[in-house]
Amino acid sequence: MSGVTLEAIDADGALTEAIASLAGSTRAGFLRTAALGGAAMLSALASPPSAGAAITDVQILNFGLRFERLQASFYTQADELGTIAKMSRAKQTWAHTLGAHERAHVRIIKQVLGRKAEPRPFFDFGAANETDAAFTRTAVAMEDLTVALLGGVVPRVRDRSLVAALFGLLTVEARHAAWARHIVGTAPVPRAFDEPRTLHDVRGVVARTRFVSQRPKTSSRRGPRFTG
Amino acid sequence: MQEAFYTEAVERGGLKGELARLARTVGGQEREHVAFLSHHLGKRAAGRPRTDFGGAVTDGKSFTKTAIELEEAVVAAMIGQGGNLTAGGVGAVTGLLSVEARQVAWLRNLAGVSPAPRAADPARKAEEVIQDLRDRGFLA
Repeated sequence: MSGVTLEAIDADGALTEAIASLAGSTRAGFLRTAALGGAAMLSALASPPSAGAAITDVQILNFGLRFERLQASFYTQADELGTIAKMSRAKQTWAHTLGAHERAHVRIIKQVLGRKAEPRPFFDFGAANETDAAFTRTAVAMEDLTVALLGGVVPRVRDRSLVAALFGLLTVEARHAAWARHIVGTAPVPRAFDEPRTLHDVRGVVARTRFVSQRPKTSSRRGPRFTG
Repeated sequence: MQEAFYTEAVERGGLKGELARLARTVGGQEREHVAFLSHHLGKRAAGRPRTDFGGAVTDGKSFTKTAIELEEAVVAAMIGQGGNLTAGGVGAVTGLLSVEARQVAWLRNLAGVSPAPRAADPARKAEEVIQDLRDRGFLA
């Protein structure tokens, strides 16, 4: 659990809009104040799509692009802020590898989309990547979240030729998530399936899990924010 | 096949510490995968393959090396099958494919090699992977 909310990071609403296209706008609105990558968010995203929500392959790819950009910006920014340089050697290798992979994923998806690729959204990480502890916590949540997101959208892709390519990105995100979890000493493979087997009503799930209702306080006095 | 591998490794009892925990955890997960896929496939499910891991499960080093090879082969074969699956098949496979990838990352971590060596995982043809496992003597 990162303690960071979607609302805090998603400065221009691009991520919420992407989640709405997958999980429905009611759920997406509800998740804005839930912890990024927390149980509530993961369950909601792994649930079946809302009735009648048609989604094109281009939308799905742009959806993936937004989340890859979110991650790429997060790691690049942590590097530029010097947060990664202050970590142990093993964690530096981890953080640099993940950053390089996420940037590569952005390039891969952009290449597939060509001119249909959306412009970069604006993200505000607050203090989430300014310290080793906050960075690590958020990275774990973000990687688990991306596995859930990609896992949720790949079955909805119509063009069969895209499935294998997206599978190849999904498995790398899952490796990242396991690596991140190993670093913080939690189970790298917490379940036999990366989706809940029984579907919960998201409101019930949120009520039962830690619910971040307020925007986290930030001590950041940085200048301009980075974009994705 | 994976289920048999981890079961044999746990039963032989040559694994210690986190590696023993990994074998128990992953073995249990593979059993769940087998149950899920058997249920999903129904009568179309192929019979249980005959496996022979020989000395590959007797000590930590050979166990880790073989487990990584097996898991990498499974991940690549599942990616390779991506384009051949029906929409329902993709839905069924996605949630366990990412778990296979997490498992191999954990194994690689314990082996001291990069858990995520590439930005995108490659696809392999399922027939090629099966032939490879036969050549290694793991599959009859």
